Amino acid sequence: MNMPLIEFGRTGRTLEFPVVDMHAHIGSFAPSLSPPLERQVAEMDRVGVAVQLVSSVEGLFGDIVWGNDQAAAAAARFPGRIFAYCHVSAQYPELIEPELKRCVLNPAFKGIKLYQVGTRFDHPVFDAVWAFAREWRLPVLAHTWGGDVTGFDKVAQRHPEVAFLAGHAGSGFAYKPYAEMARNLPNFYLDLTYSREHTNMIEYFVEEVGPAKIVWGSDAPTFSISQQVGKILYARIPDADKRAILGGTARRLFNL
Amino acid sequence: MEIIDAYCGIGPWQKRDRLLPWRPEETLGLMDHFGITRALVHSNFTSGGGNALRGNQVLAEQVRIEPRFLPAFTLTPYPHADEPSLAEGLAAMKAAGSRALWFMPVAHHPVREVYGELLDACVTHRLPVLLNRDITTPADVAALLRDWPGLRLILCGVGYMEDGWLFPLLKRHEQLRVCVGQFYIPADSPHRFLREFPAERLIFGSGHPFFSPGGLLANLFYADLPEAQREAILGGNIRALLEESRL
Repeated sequence: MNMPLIEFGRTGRTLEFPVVDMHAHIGSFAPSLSPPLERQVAEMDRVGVAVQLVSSVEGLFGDIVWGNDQAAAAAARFPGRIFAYCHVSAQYPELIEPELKRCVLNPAFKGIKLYQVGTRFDHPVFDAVWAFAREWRLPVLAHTWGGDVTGFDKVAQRHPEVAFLAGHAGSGFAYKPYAEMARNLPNFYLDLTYSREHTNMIEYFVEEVGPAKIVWGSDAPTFSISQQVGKILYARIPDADKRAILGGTARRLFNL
Repeated sequence: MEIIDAYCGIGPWQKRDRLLPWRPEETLGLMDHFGITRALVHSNFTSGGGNALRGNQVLAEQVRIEPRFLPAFTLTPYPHADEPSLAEGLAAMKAAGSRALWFMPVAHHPVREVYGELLDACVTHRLPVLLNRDITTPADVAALLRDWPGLRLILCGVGYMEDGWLFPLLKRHEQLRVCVGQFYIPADSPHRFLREFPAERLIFGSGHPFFSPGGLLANLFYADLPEAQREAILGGNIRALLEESRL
């Protein structure tokens, strides 16, 4: 008999289906150092996360080439468990095409990661990214915040064959704009990675856009994997929807 | 296992988002879903800027109806002679069975001059004092702990990148506790915390109605902890603090 997924959260039992953490990191932010990667993988094992897609925190802070190297090294250390995003930035336009071309030679890179650093995503500097994503069928994950996706929806509309994943959907409790974008754009997905867990928001998203438009990420090592997975396990939605959010939708998008 | 949510607001408040629950029966329904036995409740009305007398009145009415709610009153030190005194406020707390204080200092008001008597009383009566991180600063928390070293302070709403100032304060002030509620969920938690501090310093609280406790509960149930520690964090610690209260 299948145990209801909420019981896994209530008992701390390891999940028994392939969970995909599509938004995680390696490296550290400034205030303190992250636990070592093996501890992160140990938490994946304990919770039952099969696969994690990571970008480098240091890369997001501007050390782009080194960051992509670190992401590749993490994937090499844990083959089949850790995959990588190729991170590029509008602030370093000369690195965009060379880094994308370099990363794609490594099959561990499964997507492209962008951050909000002041340049809107509909700025022409990003045109090479969309062309590359289309050609190599790579989903694009962007950090977004508070419902202001700084043009990510506009480029999603222009490039319907590319999967656009809006990170931190619902952040700042700005849930309506995210739901509206995901409803209106077939290739626009909500990534629930977010420290906070606003009451009724996951249920709202599922009702408004459906689980096939929602993906799950932990933001580890910034946040705890078990906390992030727990908010889905305890959500008042059907188990089939939880399975889609925790892995099914991402496996389809990333061809895992 | 008795799970007690130490960080739970009930009732209406001014700037409510329509997605959020506010009726006590909604809170009770969610407590059932999450397996929460009892909740230490404060007034949403008061924490949202409404006057504490009305907020306390609503709390007292609710806890009379629902024994799963344990009240945490807020006392405002009023300036005028025709307003309720601190002694009257403490008597009202005692009458309602409130054994903890939801502290609501106003930003930039001088703490010793305005809140000194209230905080002295909290130390004397061993009242646990809950303070929301959103309305204070690390420097103000440090000053509070320095000036009232006996204060049983529970800091709620601490964020995932705040260990840099939080851990030094925890090392220096034994009476400081951290509520794991809302978003104190750093990587490798709660193990990283427990390698340095006893489980008695962590207290479970959800941040209801703004936040949902599922992730926090799963975080504690997946954690590789002795059951006694898990039970302490999820309810035993706040229960012990409330029982030690001498009001």
